[in-house]
Amino acid sequence: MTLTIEREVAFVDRVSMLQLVDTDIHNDLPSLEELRPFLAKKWHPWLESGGPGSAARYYANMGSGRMDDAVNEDDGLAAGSPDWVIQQLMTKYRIDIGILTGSVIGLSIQHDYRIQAALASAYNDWTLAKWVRPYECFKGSIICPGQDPNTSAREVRRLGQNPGMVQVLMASAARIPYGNNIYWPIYRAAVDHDLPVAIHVGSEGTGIANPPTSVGYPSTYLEFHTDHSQTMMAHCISLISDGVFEEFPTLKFAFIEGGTVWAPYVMGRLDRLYSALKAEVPYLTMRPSEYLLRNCYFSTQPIEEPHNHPHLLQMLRMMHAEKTVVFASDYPHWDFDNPLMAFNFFPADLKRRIFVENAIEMYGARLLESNRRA
Amino acid sequence: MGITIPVPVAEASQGSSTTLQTIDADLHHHIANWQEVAPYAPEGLRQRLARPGGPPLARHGFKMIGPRFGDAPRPSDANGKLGHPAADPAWVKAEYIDKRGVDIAILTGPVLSLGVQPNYDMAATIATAINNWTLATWVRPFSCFKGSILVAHQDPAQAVAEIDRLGDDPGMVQVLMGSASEAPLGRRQFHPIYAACVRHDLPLALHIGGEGAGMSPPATAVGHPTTYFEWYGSLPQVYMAHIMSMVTEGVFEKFPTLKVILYEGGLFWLPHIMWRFDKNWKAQRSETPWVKERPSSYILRHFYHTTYPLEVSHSDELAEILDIVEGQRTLLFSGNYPNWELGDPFEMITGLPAGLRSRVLGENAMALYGERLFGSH
Repeated sequence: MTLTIEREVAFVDRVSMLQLVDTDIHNDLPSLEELRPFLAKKWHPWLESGGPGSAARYYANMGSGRMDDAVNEDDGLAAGSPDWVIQQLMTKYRIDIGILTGSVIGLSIQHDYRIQAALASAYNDWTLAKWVRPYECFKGSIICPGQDPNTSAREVRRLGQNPGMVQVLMASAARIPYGNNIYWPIYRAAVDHDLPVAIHVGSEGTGIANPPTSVGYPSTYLEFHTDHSQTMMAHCISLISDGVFEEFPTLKFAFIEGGTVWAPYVMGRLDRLYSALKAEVPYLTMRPSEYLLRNCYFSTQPIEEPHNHPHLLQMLRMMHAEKTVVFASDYPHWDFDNPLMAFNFFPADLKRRIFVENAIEMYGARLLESNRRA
Repeated sequence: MGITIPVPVAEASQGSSTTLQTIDADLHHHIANWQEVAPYAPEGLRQRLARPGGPPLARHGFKMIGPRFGDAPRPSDANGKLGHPAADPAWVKAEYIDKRGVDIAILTGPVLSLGVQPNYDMAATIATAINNWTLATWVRPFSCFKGSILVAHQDPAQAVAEIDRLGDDPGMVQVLMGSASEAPLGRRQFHPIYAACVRHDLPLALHIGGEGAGMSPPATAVGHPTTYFEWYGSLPQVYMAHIMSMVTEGVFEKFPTLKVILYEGGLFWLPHIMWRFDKNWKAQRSETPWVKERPSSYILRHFYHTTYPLEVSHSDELAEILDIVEGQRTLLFSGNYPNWELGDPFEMITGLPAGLRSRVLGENAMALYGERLFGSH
């Protein structure tokens, strides 16, 4: 009977029943061994060696980096099983749909792109099998080895029709800014399958990525983590100024965990430049701010915390947050934003846009499709 | 262009008791002929400055396309051939300073990439030569020009020696470094430079321009931009990285009187970094116990910003952001003469909220630079 009812309820009504969409949930991979069934035999020797070599960053959180009160004593993980996440996150904070962003985004700045591509595919299949197909509340991300755009594009096409996958996901750490046309095959595949592309912070300065800032390496985790938004700004400016949104007008691009209210800087400075320097970028047909407002989305966590709350609302107004900002919790990481607390001073209509409606616009109807065929 | 903007009565009455001054914190004087600068260099590397076209300098490939200098005035010779608008101090005084009602202009010069040049001694020599030449040909003969002590920070020892050499010269009002850098400026190796600034009571000016050149990392944290448009749009991120570094490394605990001016970076990004930084500090501050106050209070107290180019000139947003980042104290008028490709610097500030105009045009600079701005030299 449930099935029949679902079919009969109109899309708008189903949206109206939603309370919260979380665009950033980091489910754990308890063991590399879980990928074995999804990995071609030729790669199995890598598993026997404990996985490929993996460049790691120096910068380490002063705590465990996770919400210690969410750790499951059975496996020592805070997001090791779907049921645990449903209990600790989805139910507790009244989240209807969660987008899984996993724990291997950084593979796109590891040096051996072949094994990383194989692992990404296996990981994506594992996500579908363990987390998405059995649960209607979770949706997956097609994690891509961004350092190899052609292989990434193939992976997007392989899974692009799957109703369980709602976005393409890469690290914000990169060797080359994401506007560069070496990446365009990924965007073409994403657009063909009506998938947004998201990038996520954390691997800055690691592996083959550039230094975490344009003046080199920070010293501490505090500095490193605060610097993260600069990679996001650089990519955002690159995407706009290299004409990605001109070539792919329907491409939606999401900046996850990189802050929100720097967007007015990007819009203001680029618009100022554009009015004077159009000759260098003749392929742009709109003001830079128009591309940003049409094509870009920004996730909340870690939401900026001014001492004077209305200041945040002022900045959000400047970037039309009612169209451009989506909620993220970053569960189970240390700087999790509690959706029941962090937005209490937001006007109800803005909160509704951020909690539900902008995510629906970004991900499309696929967000509400059943995972049974995933 | 020369638009005259009436000063509102209310604003004039609340101005300071001294005569209203217009201070331009950013005038890029130009070297037309390096052979005129070379004699001011110490012997040894002097002949390398005298090379045709000037000394060897690494540079990036980002170049503005379109008419140069916007509507800045241009000198022309008898045949009508246009010259450089900032090569001759007397001409600049007559055509810009006097015509636009500027009282004092701070010279920021033509070379902003010294700090990422691979040869430390060449870089330090060029800095010394430019400083001597600036004093002799621009500052000493004209009371309207004040100089910046240009230093190449990749070799802090030589930078400190240069600051100590010129730090008490009444013609010099600040220390100037390119913001392009191999390492973030909070790093301990640079602290002697800040000690020297404080010793001579000089603000530290950082200016974009060398990003991506020489020893600089790529101009963004994700690699090399494609165009000048992208490069210039991204440059404020360099300042963000330096701010994070200087605050987390405790520069302002160690040098509580140090003031830093960030040239040509705008300020719409400040709210984001202040609030992200404060939030992270709350949870991670045990890593940097010497950072005693929340980061935003250091940022508001120690950093100054310039008007060229403000992100927007006419909107409520400008007033809102100036209020949030306390721009009424920290925003300085910068003419950026003669690089007016993005517009006329006086037009750029016509949308400043009432009451802020006199502060931005002069009072903030007077409070920052102090008496030195008006001393004879």
